[in-house]
Amino acid sequence: MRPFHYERAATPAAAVKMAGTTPMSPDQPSVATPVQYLAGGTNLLDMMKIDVMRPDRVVDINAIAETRHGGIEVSDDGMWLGALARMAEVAEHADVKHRFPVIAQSLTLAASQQLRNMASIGGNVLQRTRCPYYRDTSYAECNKRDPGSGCAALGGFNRMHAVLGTSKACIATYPGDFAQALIALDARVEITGAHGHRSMAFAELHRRPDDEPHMETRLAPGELITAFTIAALPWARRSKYLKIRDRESYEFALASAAVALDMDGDIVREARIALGGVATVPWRASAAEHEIQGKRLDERALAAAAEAAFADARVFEHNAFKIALGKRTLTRALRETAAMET
Amino acid sequence: MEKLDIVGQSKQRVDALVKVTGQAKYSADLRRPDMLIAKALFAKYPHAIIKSIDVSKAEKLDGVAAVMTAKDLPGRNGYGILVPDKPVIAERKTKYEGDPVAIVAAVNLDTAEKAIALIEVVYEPLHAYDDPREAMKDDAVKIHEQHPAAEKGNILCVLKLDRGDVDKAFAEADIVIENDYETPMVDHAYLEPDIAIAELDSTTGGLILTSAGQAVYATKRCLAPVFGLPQSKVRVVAPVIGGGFGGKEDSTLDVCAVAGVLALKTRRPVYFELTRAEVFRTTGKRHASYIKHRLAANRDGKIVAIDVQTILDKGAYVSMGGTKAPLHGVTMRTLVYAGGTYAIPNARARAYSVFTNHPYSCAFRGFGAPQVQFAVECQIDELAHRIGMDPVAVRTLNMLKDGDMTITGQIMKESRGLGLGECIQKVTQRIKWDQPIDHGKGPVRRGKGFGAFIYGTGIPLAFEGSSAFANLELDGTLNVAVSSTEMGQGIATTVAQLAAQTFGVKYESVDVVFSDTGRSPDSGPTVGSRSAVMVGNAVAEACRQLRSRLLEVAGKQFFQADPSTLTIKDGLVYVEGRPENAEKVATIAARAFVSQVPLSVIGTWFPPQPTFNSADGQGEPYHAYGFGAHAVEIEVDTETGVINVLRSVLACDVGKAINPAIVEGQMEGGAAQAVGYGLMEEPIMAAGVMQNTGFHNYMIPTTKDLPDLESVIVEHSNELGPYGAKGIGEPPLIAGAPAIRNAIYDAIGVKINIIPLTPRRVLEAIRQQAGQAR
Amino acid sequence: MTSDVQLATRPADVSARDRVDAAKNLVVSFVLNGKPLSVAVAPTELLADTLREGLGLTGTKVACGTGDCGTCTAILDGEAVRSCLMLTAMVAGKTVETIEGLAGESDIHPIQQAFIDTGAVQCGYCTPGMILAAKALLDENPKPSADDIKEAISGNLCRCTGYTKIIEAIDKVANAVA
Repeated sequence: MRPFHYERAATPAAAVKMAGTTPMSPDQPSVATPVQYLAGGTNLLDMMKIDVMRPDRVVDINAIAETRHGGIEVSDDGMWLGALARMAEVAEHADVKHRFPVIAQSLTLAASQQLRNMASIGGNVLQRTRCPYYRDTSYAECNKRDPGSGCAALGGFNRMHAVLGTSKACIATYPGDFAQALIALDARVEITGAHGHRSMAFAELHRRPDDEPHMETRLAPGELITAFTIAALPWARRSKYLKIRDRESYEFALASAAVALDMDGDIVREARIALGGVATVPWRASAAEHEIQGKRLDERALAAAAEAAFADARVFEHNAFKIALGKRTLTRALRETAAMET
Repeated sequence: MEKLDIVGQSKQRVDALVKVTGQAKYSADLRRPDMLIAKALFAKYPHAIIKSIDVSKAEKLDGVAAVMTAKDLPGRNGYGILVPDKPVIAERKTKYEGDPVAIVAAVNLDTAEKAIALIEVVYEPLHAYDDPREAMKDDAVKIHEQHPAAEKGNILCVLKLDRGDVDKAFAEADIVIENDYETPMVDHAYLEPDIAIAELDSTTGGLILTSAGQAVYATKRCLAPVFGLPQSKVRVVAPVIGGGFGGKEDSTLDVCAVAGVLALKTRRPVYFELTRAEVFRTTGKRHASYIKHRLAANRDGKIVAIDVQTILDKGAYVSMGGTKAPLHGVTMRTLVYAGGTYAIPNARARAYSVFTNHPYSCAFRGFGAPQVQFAVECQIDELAHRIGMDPVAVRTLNMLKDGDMTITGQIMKESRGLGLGECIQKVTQRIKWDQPIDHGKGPVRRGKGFGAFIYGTGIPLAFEGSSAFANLELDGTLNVAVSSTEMGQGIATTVAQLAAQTFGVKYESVDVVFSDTGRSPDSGPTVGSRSAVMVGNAVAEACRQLRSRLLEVAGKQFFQADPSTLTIKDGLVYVEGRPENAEKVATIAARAFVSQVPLSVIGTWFPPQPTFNSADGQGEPYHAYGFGAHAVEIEVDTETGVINVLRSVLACDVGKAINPAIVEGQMEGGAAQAVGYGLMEEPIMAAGVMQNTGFHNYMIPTTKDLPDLESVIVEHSNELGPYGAKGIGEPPLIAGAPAIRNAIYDAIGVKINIIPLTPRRVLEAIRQQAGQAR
Repeated sequence: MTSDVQLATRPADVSARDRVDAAKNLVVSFVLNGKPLSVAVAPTELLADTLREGLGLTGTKVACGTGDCGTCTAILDGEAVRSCLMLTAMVAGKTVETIEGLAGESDIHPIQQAFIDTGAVQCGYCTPGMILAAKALLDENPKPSADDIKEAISGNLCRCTGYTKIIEAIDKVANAVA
């Protein structure tokens, strides 16, 4: 690992202030930001060991966990999740499991127990793609790492790559699970930075690759995620995360679906669908939601939803199977969510 | 019959306590004063001409003790278990990603890595071969411009087996089943990475190599010419090993060669460890295979002939792949097992071993048997379905019985243990084979599948045999030394039990020295499921000699009795039936010591000499065979392609379980690796470059991928094995993958002849079948 | 162990590097196996390396260096973590347990004994990490189900045993008659 300057911050304000002393350009690749916040470290240190990330300064924000930002607050109005809460804490929280099952499930099905004990949920949503060409610096071509250098995955072994939200510049899959659950529950993300606090719909946080795959999120340099908020929406309780993978533990999704439904008898009053493993960003499948809203969830509606979800999908040499698999994952998740006892 | 109170018991492993407390010292835990750290610059291109190498910047870096390229080597630039075709450092050409182009020793890892980054190499890349079927074509570029053993182009060798009149049998048979099968390369995925420490031996002026390797004597013999040293000046030591599975027979040579030449150059101890990514990229793999299997049978289910062509992906070097001469290795095993565990009167088998630009294919648990028996066990199932017979009944009908002949012409004898019938019976009983399974109606379907296997004990070569050393100490304890390595399989424990039982001291009174050419006689390599039998017999022989010497002294000088009337048990010597008048072993040993009776003994054991004719594949390659049956129950998710193994029941005929817990451990581990082989393990190669080089993308089974693995030990005694034992290390892996494949067919009627059965592959097969049905 | 031999940082294969030996300019105080101590480390130093190289506690293994295998498992404030993906700086003020801290004065830990008794040990490379993952589980959940056990150790790879006897050993401790 390359040497870096190490500092600790005990509050979000202090962290942002520390980070702010290094000038940072707003359009440099996210991966190349010279200051990095260190929480669980499970992704950052891995990326630093393989030399993809090379920060000059590392601001250890773990002490923030001692503040409200390490906590979980559940009330009748909804839920507030501090960004420094660990994945395991959220996954194993009784109220979360009961009232927001999709959140708990998405976290439990990710990584391994040791990693969930370490990793913060704020860091989790920012975890970097597992695209092997991005992770291996011996490949010169990677627009995420080095804008304009090309994309080795396009002509490479792209079995694990995305079919939704791809561009000519990048087809790397967003690897996480929790983010899809946040989208399914209309979560908002709270952010603090040199210019104060702000919040946005979580679904807006990640940027599709388009021509600038190196710009992964809408966070400005030095901004820090401090919390996630989820309102007590009628569909939170009837929610589910389904993940299909090559191995039953410690493996990323081939396809996944986070589904939340508000049912009126057997009619879908409101639906939220987010897909994982198949897209370049946590993917809200709005067209699929539209297909089932106000309808009975029969086979025709399910098929229409699946069709709509993947209508714009583009396949590459080795990942054509992801469309059929993604559709089936979605329809199964919808079916099982509708059947939930709430 | 002697009553056994130590052999046959699940004694606590001799190494268990140090392992659970973290005190066991593996190679990575050892340090030497003034030690340098080595790194290798591995080939950037798997197949390329090296135009130039410039190491000048690296040499000038502070803290660098040595930078070496091929021209700086002290001895022969080539080594290999069978053929010395693998260079320590590539000189003119690279043949796979794991060829070092230059090596460095420096004061620490950071400096060594920095030096590696400063080496400038100019390559002219060549087409890299991923598929042996392409590499064996006449117009293919020769990977080895000159190879000492290659037959033609990239074809290393073509081996043949011929028995009976195959063409006639096929012409007259009722049914012919012909299919193509493919099995992948597989990484051993031992958890301990490859490591060597090389240091000068101040006594002999030679080298001491400390490395996690499975064959200390073979390492010494292979590498002495590389160092320009006589074999007597190379000492090889293997500490406890963190898993081997066949891989560390070869990979230890790679790391020892690099560390050794750097130690000779710098005159300082050198430590060389591969990163996990380097282990994946550079060390050996299981041979990938492409098999065309034809089987002829009569309508009653009796198999009359097979005709099998196997093409093996050799990777870049011979390793344990085998050649015509010396005739050994994986290629030959694919002939021996081409008919599985069945009596088949007419057989033709051809095995091609072909160079590619992949990591060298080497030994890996099963040694050719898992590949070809995957095909056989799928074929048998298809035969059963074609004639409407139960798959197990077809196997029972055809299985080798006492007096039957194998396709190599060897007559099977019950006296050597033929327990397949009992294995089949126990497994079918336990999994309730005869009760119909509810296949289910929704997207998730259930099925049961079966596989059987045969596997010879030991190495089918003329040198097969072992030596072991036993020394009776004057306090009545016993020291045993063998060159076998302890890689988790429990040989130290097994040897201690055999010694204690045979000599007559308590299990706790025996200590075992292992895998040190300076302290152990040559017991042969720790491969081929041979150690319990070959080494066990040698140890037992040494202990019998010691016992009779001690009884001689006891009879003459203590009991005034014929030695044959005496016995030794739990460290006491007495006249049989009169334990109240006993003398301690220590007392008699002390008397023997002053009576010029030698208390140090070398025991040896050689099986009947193995034979195998390279012209027609006929002979008796093994003195005894292990057998087994494996049944699984699985779930197929037809929407996602995910296979879930619900039950795994494995029975193995081990002759005699010296330590049943250890035998079960081998069976459970083999069954787990079989699930990995069948469902998920596959190096992804693109023009010779491995794409999945970490445990996050090269997947091995986790707890959640495996059911409770059920094991049934069957004991059909081998008259030549110690207490009746046969080999058990490798066999448990063989039939799991075909059993899973057969279970998928049972569940959904889709036959897939390529492993691993990943969700993508299963979905594709379901889609294709649906397309054909339309 | 001299300070110039830093064996244990294991970056993956990368070509271009520009690194120097960082000064050991951080002093980190924590409680290790019940005893408070302070170590001077470089900011880059990983907990696994401090344990193995600095403190000689080689029971903690590093089989992959990328958080994928679980052989480097340590217990941090009661939770099982990967010591190869954690800076030593991050454990300041916390308590760390390693395999060397499990045995008492006269007896080994019941989990260690169960691993011996059930034959759950083969090559032993996964064993310390497995035992620590099991201890973290049982400390929090003394009566885990079979699924709880499987989940807790599903990030710990074992290539020898097929996990059957390991799960049996943990279950044996959990369900031992007091």
